[in-house]
Amino acid sequence: MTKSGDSESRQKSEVEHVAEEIFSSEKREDIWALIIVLGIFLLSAAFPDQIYHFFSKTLYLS
Amino acid sequence: MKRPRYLFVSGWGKYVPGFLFCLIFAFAGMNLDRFVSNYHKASVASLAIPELEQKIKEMIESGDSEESLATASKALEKQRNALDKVDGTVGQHWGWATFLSEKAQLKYVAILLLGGILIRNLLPLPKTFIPGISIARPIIKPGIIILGVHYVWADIVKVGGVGLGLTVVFIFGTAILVMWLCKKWGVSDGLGGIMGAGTGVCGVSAIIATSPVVRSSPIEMAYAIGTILFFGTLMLFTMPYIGQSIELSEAQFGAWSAVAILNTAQLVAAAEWYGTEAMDTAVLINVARIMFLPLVVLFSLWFYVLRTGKQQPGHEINKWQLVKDKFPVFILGFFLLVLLNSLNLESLGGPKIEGSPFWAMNAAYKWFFAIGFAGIGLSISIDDMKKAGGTAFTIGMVAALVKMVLGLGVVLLIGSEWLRVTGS
Repeated sequence: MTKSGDSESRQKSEVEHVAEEIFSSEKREDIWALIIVLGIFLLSAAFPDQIYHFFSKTLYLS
Repeated sequence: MKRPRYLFVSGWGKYVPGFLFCLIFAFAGMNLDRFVSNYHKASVASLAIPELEQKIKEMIESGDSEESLATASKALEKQRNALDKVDGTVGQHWGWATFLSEKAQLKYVAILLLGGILIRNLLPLPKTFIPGISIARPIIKPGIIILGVHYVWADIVKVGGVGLGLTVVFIFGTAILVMWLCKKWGVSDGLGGIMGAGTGVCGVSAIIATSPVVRSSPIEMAYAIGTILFFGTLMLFTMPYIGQSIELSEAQFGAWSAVAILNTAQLVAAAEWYGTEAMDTAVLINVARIMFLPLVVLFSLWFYVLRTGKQQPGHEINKWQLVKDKFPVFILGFFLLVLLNSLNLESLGGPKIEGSPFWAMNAAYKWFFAIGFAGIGLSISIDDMKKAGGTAFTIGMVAALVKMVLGLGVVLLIGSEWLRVTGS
């Protein structure tokens, strides 16, 4: 009984740990998304024509 | 030191091969889309040029204004450029391109999703690619933030207001229905809680966010995630065709997909597939929806723990901290761009004002979406979907069908006007 209780609580804490780990990775993704957009925003403010050209022309082969 | 370190994961090298593969695949998909589109446009131009030449000739003979002549000449030049792009001549026709572009709707979304599924399930994809593929999917988030330049506050109030109403009804309606069904069918709290949150808000994120609160087991999480992915994929590939067959407007389809499809990336893919206007509406309503994620987690806490008195003494949950932890912060960037666009600042311009920063930013969002769609396609594994089963599958099916049918009825009742994003 004690053994099964121990294993159940170990399994539960493992689930919590995995869930927290994955969800904190969502926070990390959110922050990276903000950083990437800030970078694009700054580059677009400094070189709008070049950034437009890069994404709508340079990256295409035809 | 702790915060910057938090931004990096240990062992990041394992993500490089798969991520690079997604970048190459997205590049190939976007270029294939451009290739087909160029030939389709050339076919259209091949027919349009003689008509425009005749029209200009008649305009000169009838002494039309210089302004209307200039407009017609500009249109003719545009068509000639389209034909020149493929080194074509008037009279040539590329039926295959028109078929792929118009009938088969082979846009970059379809190329990356279907191509990704085929590669993942038919080719021996090395296991070293899997971690990197999983981090490509969230690259859709910078694309969603950049889409903020498509809106002004009037859109947020109009479409966002309608969307808010829709999401409140559908999120809590679905969550309550699913949790009630689970209780009625004797499903464990762990599975019922994550299925309620997962089918109500935004799929996998909601399952992961709610699982510690309702104490789900790993197998319950696997069932729920498998079910959500299965129905999301099914809807992603069927809804655009249903929408077309019943002639739903783009705005209506955008709202319908935002209500019915559970996963953010999948709903953006379906709406972008349908058209840019559909995507604008879908993204705005989805932003309203994901803001509710912390509230759904709180609701699950109340439904399964607080209401039933199951909270353990000494383990009180800080509700404010819970809301703060689960809040998707990236949407703050989206709202900041909406605010800046609404201020109509000359220094920032707009997505249609040539040479302005927002015009340049607007050119980038499709590439972020392409990388994300490559990640979605390549991560859809038939083996993973086989994990969906049992009661979770039945509950998921009921919730998905109810949302799909009721959502369609509601957007048909609302009509296009209240759901259309104007951007100005």
